[in-house]
Amino acid sequence: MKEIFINIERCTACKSCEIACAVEHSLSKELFSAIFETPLPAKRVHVEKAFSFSYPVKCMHCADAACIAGCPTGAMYRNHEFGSVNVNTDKCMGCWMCAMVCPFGAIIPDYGIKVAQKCDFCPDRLRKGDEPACVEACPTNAVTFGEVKELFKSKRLLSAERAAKAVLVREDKEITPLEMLRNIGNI
Amino acid sequence: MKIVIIGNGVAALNAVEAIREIDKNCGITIISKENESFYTPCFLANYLSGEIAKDRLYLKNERFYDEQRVETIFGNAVAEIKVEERSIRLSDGRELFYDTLLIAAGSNPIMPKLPNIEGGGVFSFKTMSDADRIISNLKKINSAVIVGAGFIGLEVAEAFIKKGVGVTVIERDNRVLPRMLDNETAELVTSHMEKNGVKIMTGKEVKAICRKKGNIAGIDTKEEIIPCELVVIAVGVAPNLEMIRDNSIKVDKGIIVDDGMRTNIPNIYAAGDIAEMEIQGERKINPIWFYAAKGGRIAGLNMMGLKKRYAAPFTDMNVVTLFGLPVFSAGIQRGSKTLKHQDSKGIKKIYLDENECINGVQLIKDVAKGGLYLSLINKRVPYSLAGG
Amino acid sequence: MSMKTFDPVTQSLINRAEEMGIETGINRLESQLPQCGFGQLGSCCRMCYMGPCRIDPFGEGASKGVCGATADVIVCRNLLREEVGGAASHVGHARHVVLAFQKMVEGKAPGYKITDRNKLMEIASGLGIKTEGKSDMGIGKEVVDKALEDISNQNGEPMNWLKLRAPSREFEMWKEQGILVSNAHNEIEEAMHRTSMGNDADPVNLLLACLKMGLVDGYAGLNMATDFHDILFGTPQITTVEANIGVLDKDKVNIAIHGHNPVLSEKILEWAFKMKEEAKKRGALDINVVGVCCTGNELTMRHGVPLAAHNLQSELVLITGAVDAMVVDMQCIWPSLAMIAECFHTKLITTEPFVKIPGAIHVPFDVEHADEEAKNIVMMAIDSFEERKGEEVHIPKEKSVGFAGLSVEAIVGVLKKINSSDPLKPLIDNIADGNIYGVVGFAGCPSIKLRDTFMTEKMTKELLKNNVLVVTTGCTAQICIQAGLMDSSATDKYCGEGLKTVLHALGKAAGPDVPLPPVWHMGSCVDNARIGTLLGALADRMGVKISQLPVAGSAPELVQEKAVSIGTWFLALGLFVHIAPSPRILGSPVATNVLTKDLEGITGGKVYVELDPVKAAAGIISHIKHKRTELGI
Repeated sequence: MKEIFINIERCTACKSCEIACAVEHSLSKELFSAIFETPLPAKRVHVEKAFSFSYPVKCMHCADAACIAGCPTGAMYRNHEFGSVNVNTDKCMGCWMCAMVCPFGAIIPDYGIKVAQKCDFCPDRLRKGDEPACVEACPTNAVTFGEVKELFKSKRLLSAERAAKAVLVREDKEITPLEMLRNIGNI
Repeated sequence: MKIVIIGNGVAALNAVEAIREIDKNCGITIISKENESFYTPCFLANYLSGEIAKDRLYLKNERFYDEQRVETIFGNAVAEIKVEERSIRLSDGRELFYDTLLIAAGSNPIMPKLPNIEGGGVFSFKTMSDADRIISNLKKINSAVIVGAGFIGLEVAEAFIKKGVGVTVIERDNRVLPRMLDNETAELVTSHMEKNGVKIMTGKEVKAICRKKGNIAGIDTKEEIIPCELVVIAVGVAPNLEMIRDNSIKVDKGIIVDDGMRTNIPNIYAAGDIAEMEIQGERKINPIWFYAAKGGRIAGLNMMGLKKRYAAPFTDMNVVTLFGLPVFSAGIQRGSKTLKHQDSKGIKKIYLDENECINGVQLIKDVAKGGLYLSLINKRVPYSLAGG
Repeated sequence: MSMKTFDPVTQSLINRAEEMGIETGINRLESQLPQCGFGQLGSCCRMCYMGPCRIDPFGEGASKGVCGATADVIVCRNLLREEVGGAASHVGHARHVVLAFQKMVEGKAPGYKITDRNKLMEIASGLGIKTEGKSDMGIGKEVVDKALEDISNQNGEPMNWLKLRAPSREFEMWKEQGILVSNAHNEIEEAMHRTSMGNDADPVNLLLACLKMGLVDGYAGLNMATDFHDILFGTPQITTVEANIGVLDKDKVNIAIHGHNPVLSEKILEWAFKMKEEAKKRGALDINVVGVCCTGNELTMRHGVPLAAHNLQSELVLITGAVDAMVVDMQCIWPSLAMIAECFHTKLITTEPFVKIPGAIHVPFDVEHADEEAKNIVMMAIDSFEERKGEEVHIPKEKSVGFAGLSVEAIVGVLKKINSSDPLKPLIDNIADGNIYGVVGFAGCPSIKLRDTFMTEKMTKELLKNNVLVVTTGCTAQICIQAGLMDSSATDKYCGEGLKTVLHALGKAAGPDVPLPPVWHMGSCVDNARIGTLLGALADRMGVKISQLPVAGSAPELVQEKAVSIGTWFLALGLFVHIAPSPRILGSPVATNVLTKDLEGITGGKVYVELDPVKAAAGIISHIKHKRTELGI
């Protein structure tokens, strides 16, 4: 089962994921039409600031999902096709129990129509073999999509590489422009 | 193996699903004193107001019990659990043996011993049949009093207004939603309820129910008589311990369980509103859907020999929407420091302890980030480290 | 493997690049996708360091920047800055040519001369310069002074070139709207000033400033550049040319000239001819100068030099491995060219002090030493040919032929053969009776985003079918010539009956007795001036405003900021302007409304965005129909 993995160090707060998400959840699925729709499509990912970092907050599709346990209408359910946590908007009655228990703040209540919105893993895209919209939109690969095993493998490789770099490049340490901004507290 | 489950609420159903994940074949019997298949009690007020149809309350289709191969005994209460015999006696006298027992019999509404409370026209609001009985009486009346301004009391008040029935809510405490809110936020909710036509009286004790020719005529508080034609008592719930007649199951306010939903008897478990869980040195009953759902699942898994534990504390929390205004509360609304933030999106009020950790949070209007605060409360993360 | 499929020539070279592991624009576009939504909507502001700020198009997040700028303010400021980028390029180009001309009249640039004396006299008299008894050089000096006044004047008077070239009715309308401009450099400065933090916050005022920038571009850029090009190098006359990458010849020294300014390319062409024998001595059959991008169009218009590649093919022409030197001056020179040239023996030679690319050879080209430097550059190409000998090249066989050189003077020349006293009359008569249903001017670039949809070709064919005559410039002209739309055979193949008849008659009059093609090559991108002049002349002769004519403009494959400022000049002239892909205005309700609707009430022009070629042509035709009805024809 593939999962979305977020690398906080790479997020530049460009909010491309937010736009791509709203567009994907619009009627037209096209930016220039989506901005003229009524109601405007809602994004299900929010880039939030956290100290000198930014982080795209979205549903993590928890294995033991509190929102599923907490939902008293059976609207919140596990989609076994993609392993995602989805909401059946026909069943949802807008009691916000899911928002009450979600540790990520990833539920987006639509107070107008009393329905909980959330990341749905872009099932239309996954069925076509595409990546979720936020993943595709991320210009820095801060949001990636893959098998958990592979994601952890690449994470392990990264930490091995870092350890090696620390030994190799002690004095003239390579530093990315983003790290530079972060170090001087600019972001 | 023969499993018996007392109760047909979410704790019971989640236990069934957990058990079936592990064992497709063992015998399961569900006993319920109500004669209803599984339904959600969380939207009874919306049913009462006519906003939703009754069928939306039933969360499983009729085939569910057959598909899960669960035998059901509905409309039959459990009279007694015989721990020694590993059996239960039903109210009709039948006796059932079990290998493992889950007590998920829920709670009963507390009915205070008020003069004239017997004789019709006074209702509790806990079950579908409570709701149906009120609905069948609603057409005949114009005014009602609700005793208790907890979230059930206020939800019922909203439903009454929507049905065109004038309503007064009487609360013994000095504010509405006393378990969820502090004075300041409660005041906001009060004025919101009043704006929508609900009369709220706080700090008032109900002395008696007044009747004229047997019919309800009013409610007597110490100071005045409030005329009304129907009364709903909503002062809270208490575990349904009527089947515990034997001293061997350890009971305090509810059935005492550990963090694995085990009672002191090895093959007996309890979950849901009936369970008084001992977790992190604190003993508590927390009769809300979420804990019942989680507890039921843990109980089910542990009954099958797993070693699951309930990790998070049993933090008080609730979220309720009253006349379109969402109100969220988690934790304890006391602390050495109060933070308040108000903007067009709503109000956020936070109580911190001396370590700057969050004791309690109240959110009015925008409740989207409620769970985030709940997890900060549970993890005892200093608020400053959470980035505001 | 790329997801898009292009025309066979382009595609075969993309395939070769991919086989060789060379990255091209198409790969880079794919790695950029999807592109930033804030950027596409124009609602990202980087004007100050309280930002960058972005406006949430979905209404949930920020609706204003830190300073309080709304989406309208941000979008309009960004649009004006795009226009400044475009106008600065054209004004810079024009100034470069004027200064070369100045050196020439002062006797300091012996490599250049007055080629079209008639045009010099026409312009001098148009500028109010008395010519009697004065030498050509003396007159030339005065013309230069008038040109330089347009970037130095502080008296608030309208620019000389605006008075010289603007159609009379439009000039009056601009005067009424208060958007006449006096000094191009002042306008560019003021636009940068007013868009920096804490200045103009009125979106409508900013949009008016955009129109002013359109006039700066049109007169101190396009018209001025074209006029001096013509005086220096001659006014184009009808000629036939070959086009597409197939014009490269593996046995010749291939020099590709890329960029915009004929001041360089004319000298390279001249010295390539002079060095023929040297090339032959070194084993080449000849020297083959080919054009890339707009300096290619300049050489084509005046000398029939083959057009090797439009801007999108500028990388691919190098992938052939057959280019011995690519000589560039300014604008649209992709930085990637150096990396691609490195993979072959090709020398990339930059010539402008403000256009340098790491990996290229820089030969500063100044007009005082034009002959030495041009000779030097051609010699480098010959040396490079020697290095290439024996190496494998991949030159696609396909090439097309077509007509070029249709300057206004050339067109009028043909028309004069039909009616010598009133040359525009036959054209107007045919418009009136519907043989020519309308005229559409195509300008702009090949867009990597739309090229695989054959946007330009499909739109053109739709228009021709409906008897709409197409005039075009720049790289769009190259798309058309490659597609065979500038060949006389296209007339019978694509045109409706009315247009077919007219083009046959014009061809007969022009001489060679083949029909004129249905798409007229009017020059480089600065030569959009020629389209403006033609429209002005038609309107004048009919006694109406340009906005009343059954005509339209189109940038079917918008790429450059220059196309935005040219398009704005067209809007100021009162043209209906089709644009694809969408300009970066949709983030602002005010900008969208004004440009697509309200502007019509001010200048008569408006923006029309449509990415589907058939629908776009239909939209244009319906506009033309409307204009015809209004004219009662």
